[in-house]
Parts: sequence; structure tokens; C-alpha cells
Amino acid sequence: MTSSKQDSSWFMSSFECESIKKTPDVKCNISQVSETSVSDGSSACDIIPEKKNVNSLSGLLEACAPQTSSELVVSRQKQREILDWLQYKVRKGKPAILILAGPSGCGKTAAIRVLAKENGFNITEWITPIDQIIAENNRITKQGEKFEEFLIRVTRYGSILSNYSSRLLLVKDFPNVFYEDKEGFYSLLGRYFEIGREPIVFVCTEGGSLKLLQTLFSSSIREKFGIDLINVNSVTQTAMKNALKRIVNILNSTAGHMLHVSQHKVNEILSNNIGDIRNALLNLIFISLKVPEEQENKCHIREETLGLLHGIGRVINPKRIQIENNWKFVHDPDELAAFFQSQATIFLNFLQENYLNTMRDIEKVDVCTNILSLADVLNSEWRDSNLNKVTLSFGIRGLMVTNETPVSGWNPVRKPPSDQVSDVLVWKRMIVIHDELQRCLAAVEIRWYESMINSKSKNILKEPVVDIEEIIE
Amino acid sequence: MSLWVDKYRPTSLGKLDYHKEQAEYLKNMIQKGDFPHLLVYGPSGAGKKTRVMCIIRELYGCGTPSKKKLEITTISSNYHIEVNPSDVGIHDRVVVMDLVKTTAQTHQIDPSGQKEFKVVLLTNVGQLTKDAQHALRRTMEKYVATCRLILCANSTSRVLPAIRSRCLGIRVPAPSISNIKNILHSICKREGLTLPDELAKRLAETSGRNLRRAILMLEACKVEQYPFTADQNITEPDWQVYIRNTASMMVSEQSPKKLLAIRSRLYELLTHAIPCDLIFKGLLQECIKNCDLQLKIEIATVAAEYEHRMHKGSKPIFHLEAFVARFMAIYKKFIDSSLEGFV
Repeated sequence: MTSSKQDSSWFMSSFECESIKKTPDVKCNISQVSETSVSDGSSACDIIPEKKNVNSLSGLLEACAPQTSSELVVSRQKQREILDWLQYKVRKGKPAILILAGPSGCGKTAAIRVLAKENGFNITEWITPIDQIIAENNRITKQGEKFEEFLIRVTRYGSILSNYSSRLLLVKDFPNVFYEDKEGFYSLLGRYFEIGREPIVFVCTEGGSLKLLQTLFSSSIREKFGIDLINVNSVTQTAMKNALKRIVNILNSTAGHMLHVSQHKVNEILSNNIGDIRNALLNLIFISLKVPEEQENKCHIREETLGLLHGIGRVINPKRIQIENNWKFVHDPDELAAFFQSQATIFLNFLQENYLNTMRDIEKVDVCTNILSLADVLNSEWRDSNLNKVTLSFGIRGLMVTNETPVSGWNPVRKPPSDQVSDVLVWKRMIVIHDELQRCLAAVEIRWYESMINSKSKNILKEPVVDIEEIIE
Repeated sequence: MSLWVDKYRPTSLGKLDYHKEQAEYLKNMIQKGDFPHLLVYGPSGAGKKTRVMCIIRELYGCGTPSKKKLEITTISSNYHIEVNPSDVGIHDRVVVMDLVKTTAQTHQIDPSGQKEFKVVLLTNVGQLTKDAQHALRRTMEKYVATCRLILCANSTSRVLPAIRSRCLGIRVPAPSISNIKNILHSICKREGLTLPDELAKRLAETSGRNLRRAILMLEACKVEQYPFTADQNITEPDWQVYIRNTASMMVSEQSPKKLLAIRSRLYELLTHAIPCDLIFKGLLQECIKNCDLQLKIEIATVAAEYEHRMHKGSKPIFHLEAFVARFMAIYKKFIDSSLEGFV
């Protein structure tokens, strides 16, 4: 049994953690790998380093991955749900789909990996290939086609090396084509349910701009195919605490030569917890690194994503901190500007629409409008694409510095209205659209008097036939 | 039923009602068969485009113009194409270059019996950006063999000197009050109506020597009340009243809140396709009524500056609002200081 496990281990890429316990207490690093494996007497093609001390970051992360269901950060109830699905919904040779949704770093993938292993499933994960493979006669296989092959054909033949009873397909990395081509994805799902034989787990990271659940797996689609959905919440404080406690032990024992994890640092991480275990682990490793000069590393949380509305709020409500005789902004204007570089014009339009709400007196407003007006002029200069970054920074900084004492109060951010000629008018006045486009005095005059004359002479139903040669000054 | 403005528009140079001497010159020029690029300028409602259309008709006879839908709307016949490139905002350069090129690159199929060139009529040239005008300059030189440009503008001040020098400038002054009166009388005669001389005079005066507006007002008066009376109400354009009210709001109170209210009114004007410079002008004229000379100078300078910026920028509302805010600030300071002097 042991030898067969050893034999099969060469193709398993990750989670080789049992080996840690088995190996004798020999300090070895990568260069010594072949030597150790030979001396181990096992198969010569065993390339997984059997190690006590881990040097690489990926090695550390692997070592910290949960091994049993009790170590998972996902709540018991959710684990139960996943187990139920694995045990009751999945039948051999029949298609079944589960969607695991949740914020990033809440342990979705780890949970499915561990639970699948405990239930005797072998996981095959889809990773979208980066390079295009050119098949014979120079035809390029499309991502979507390859994905379809993965789902339906390739995986129906079991690996002879595998000793697991059943298999599970895991898809985290959706091929990009399907973000655009929803119909294609649906028809692919349909075909899968017709001829597919292996159960699939889709892992959807929710939050941010990614809305897979709404776009690819809308509720109607889920109902149509009978797809199960399990929502995983972000990691709770207690779960995080327990997980970190376990991780600290692992880290201190396997990587003690490079890390020193103290309770103080764990507490710091916990206080910055945003329910992301992956991020917490990375930060923990980072701040615990032994640095020669013993500098105190500062702990950063994952950079927040800043929505447009929040950005606007921060600019029109600038908060200041007083430091002795100086002051500075709570939110750095340049950082704010950096967030919105790609939509500088939109951001400025929003600012213009909303800044008045927090202004106290007209003199300050005057300065602000002047800044915005100048920003607009600069923005219209299309020959230099960098100019609009400067403009954005200028606008944001200008408004923030000028508004010393913002009026507080509840000010919902409004969308700037369009200053284009509205379509409604075209209908109301029953005029030829040709006129409507022109923003010139002649057109306006004719339009207004025409509507008046027409309505007065009660000929409204008869639309005036305006000969083009005659709509002229 | 077409409007009187269109119905009684002269269709040939010989039928023009005023500036007859100029019409004669134009006619002579065209009968020679060829002419340089033209730049027709003058205040609005003076009859610029009427003259241009007469010229084109004189050149080619009555080819019926047809509508041709492009990204922007153009009017064209077999012989000429009319474009108002200001509709496309700051990307006008591309449009102008492309259009003139496509028109100019094709020769007339049968040069015998026809003119060997086509005419491109560009209206509101003053609103074109500098870039577009520079592009135009090159095109004018390059395609002079196959096409003639006729440019229309309200004033030459916004046309590049380079373009001005390449064109024959034709100034069309606004008709005098008596010109307008005569035309109004003749229209009424042809419609079979009687128009009191008093009313004709008042119409001519309120129109601000804008013939188009005068005729439109006359027709509006007719549907409102006929037979005419000398002191009957002349309907002013609604936006003028609207702008005037907006201006009095600016004078009455100077606060960010008021500015917010004014902004929504400005948006209202913009969505009704009122030209931005008209709004600027209207606001300025109304605002400075309550100011002394020193203040007038200051405010006019500010207005000029923001109007200039508006032409360079792309969002008129930014600059309109900036002007309103600056006026409010200046006016408030003025009121405060005069109150202090009073106490």
C-alpha cells in the first residue's frame, strides 16, 4: 500500500504534506533532493522534495493547507452541505454540477479539495492554458473548444495511476470567452448534462466587479439544469483565530529558520482581518520574516477596492488630521486619483455634479468651479493621453484643498444628467430630427416658433413637410 | 404647410430684397463660371444662407437636394453637400477632413455642360476647433481643382487668419429696420393680410434686426390674433424669458444652494438645444444691468474668459457654472462692501 502510494505520488502536484511527517529529521534543501530520494529507496522519478524545512513561499503555503475537515475555516454547516452534495447528489457516471460561491479567500477551494479527498474523489482541475496550441493543419484550437473537451470527453477515461474510486472536475478559472458568450456557455452546459459523466464543481469568487453568479449562473439557468449552489461566507473571527493558531505551529516547526511567528503578530493580523484567510496567511508570513536589521515590518491589509461613489464622497468631504501645526488629509488625493485614472472624465463629471452639496460659501465655490472649468479645458486636449491623469489629480486636489470645512449631512451621490438634446423633445414637438441635432440659433428659433404656430393653428396632426432646401437661414 | 420664412425665401440672386448691389456682384462673379472659396459672414438672420443657396442654384440650376444620413446629418444634392460639423464636438477634425476628401476626390462625371467642381457648404465654421480649421486649410489647397468651399460664420474672429486669407470674404450685414418693415409688408400683401405700420415697426425692433426672427414673430402674431392691432402682444422666445429669470436669480441671492438651482435651469436650457453662447450672452446682458461701471468691466472680462474656455473644453455646463459662481462671488463682495460703507 505504501509503495503504491509512493509510486503514484509523482504526478500529484500539490498537497504532499504527509511526507513531512514521514521523513527522517534531515535538514535538506532543494539541491539535495535527488540524493534524499535515492537514499529513500523509493522510485527514482519522485521529484517531490521530502523536506523538513521549507524555503520557498509556495512550499510554506502548501504546508499550511488544511489536511482534514476539522481544520477547514468553512463553517460546519457549509461543510455538511458540501458533504451532502458529494454523498447524495453525485451518482457514478451521471452529470451533476455544484457552484461554490463566496468572497475571495474564504476557503472555498480548500474545502472542496479536503472534503473530496475524504470522500474518495480524485480532483481534476481545469486551468485555462495560456499559450495557444497549434494543432495539425495549423488550426488553432479555441479555448472554448478545449474547455468543452475537458468537460465532456477527456475526463471520462480514468487514470490508471489513480487509486481513487471516483473523480471530480474542478473549474475555478473560467475561459474568458464565456464572459462574453453566455449562450455558448449555456449550450455547453446543456451538452454536458446530456453526455457528461463526471460531477463538476464550479468555484465562483464573488465581489468586486466579477459577477459570475449573476451573469453566467443566473437563477433561471440554475433551475433549468438543476444546479446546486452553496454560498460560503467570509471567514469569521473565531475560525480565523483557530486556523491561525494551527498555522503558527506549522510555520514555527517547518520554517523556523526563516520565520519567527509571535502571538503579537498574529493579533495584529487578526485585528486587520477582513475574512480572507489566504491574505491573512500571506501577511503573517511576510511580517514574520526574519530580517537582518530586525526592522519592524508594518502590516498591510489587502488593498481595498474603491468604488466610484466612495471616491466621490472622499473628495467632496475631505477629512483632515491635525498634526501639531500641520495638517494632512486622511485620504491622500494622489492615491484617490490613482484609483480612477482610467475613468478620469467620468470622475470629474461626477465631482462637478456633487461637489456643491458640501460647500459652505460662494467664494469657495467660485474657486472650485474655476478649477473644474480649467480641468475640463485640459481634458479636451486629446493629443496627450497623460494629460487627463494630471487633470484628475488637479481637480481632486483642488476641490479637497479648497473645501476646508465641508458641510456634513446626508448627500446621496447623483449621476450627472446628460446635456444632450433629449429624445422626448423630438416627439413632443414633432419636428424633423435634423433640426434637433443642431445647436445653433437658427434651428432653435425656427423650432420654437414653428411649434407655437402649429399648435395655435390647430394643425398639430398634420406634420409640417419641411423641405430641406428651405430649412435655411 | 410651410412656414412663411421658407415660403417667401428668395430663390435667386435677382429676387433678393435688400443688399441688391452685392447680389449683382455675386451674380456677375458666378456668370464668369468660376470663383474662389467663399467665406460668408454676418449676424444671424441676415440672410447668409439664403444667398449661398441662391449662388448654388445659379451655378447648377434646380437640382433637388436630398437628405443623406451620415454619422452627422448632411444635406446634399448632386452638386453640393452641406455639413454642420459643430454637431460632432471636438472630433470635428476627422469629420471635416473625411467629408471634404470624399466629395473632392471624385470628379464630376460629365464635365461638359456642368461645372467641373462641386461645392462644399460648411456652416458655423466659427464653432470648429482650431485643429479642424487647420485640417481644412490643407484640404482647401489640395482639392481646389475639384471643389469649392463655401463657409458660413457669424463672425470672422473665430476663423483662422489662414483660412480667411484663402477665401473671398463676403459680408452680409443685418437688414435695416426699414428693410425688415418692407419685407414684412410685402409678405402680408402676398398672404392677403393687412399689417399696421406700427406693428411692423415694433416687430422689426424686437427682432433685433434678425429677419428670420421677425418673420417668425409675424406669423406667430397672426395665429395669435388677426386682424392685427398696433399694440398687440409680440411673443418673445421662451428661452429668452427663461434666461432672464435665471439671471435675476443670480442677482437675488448668492449661495451654493442657489447655484444648485441655477445649474438645473442651465441643464434645462442645454437639453433644449439652446446654443451655449446665447446663454452666456443672455446671462451677461441681464446681470450687468444692476452693476456700476467698474463692476461691469470686471464681469464682462470674466464672462469672456469662461466663454473662451467653453469653446476649448467639451462640457459647457462646467464653464457656465463657473461664470455664475464667479459672478455671485464678485457681486456678493460688492454688495457687502457697499453695505459697510452705508453703515
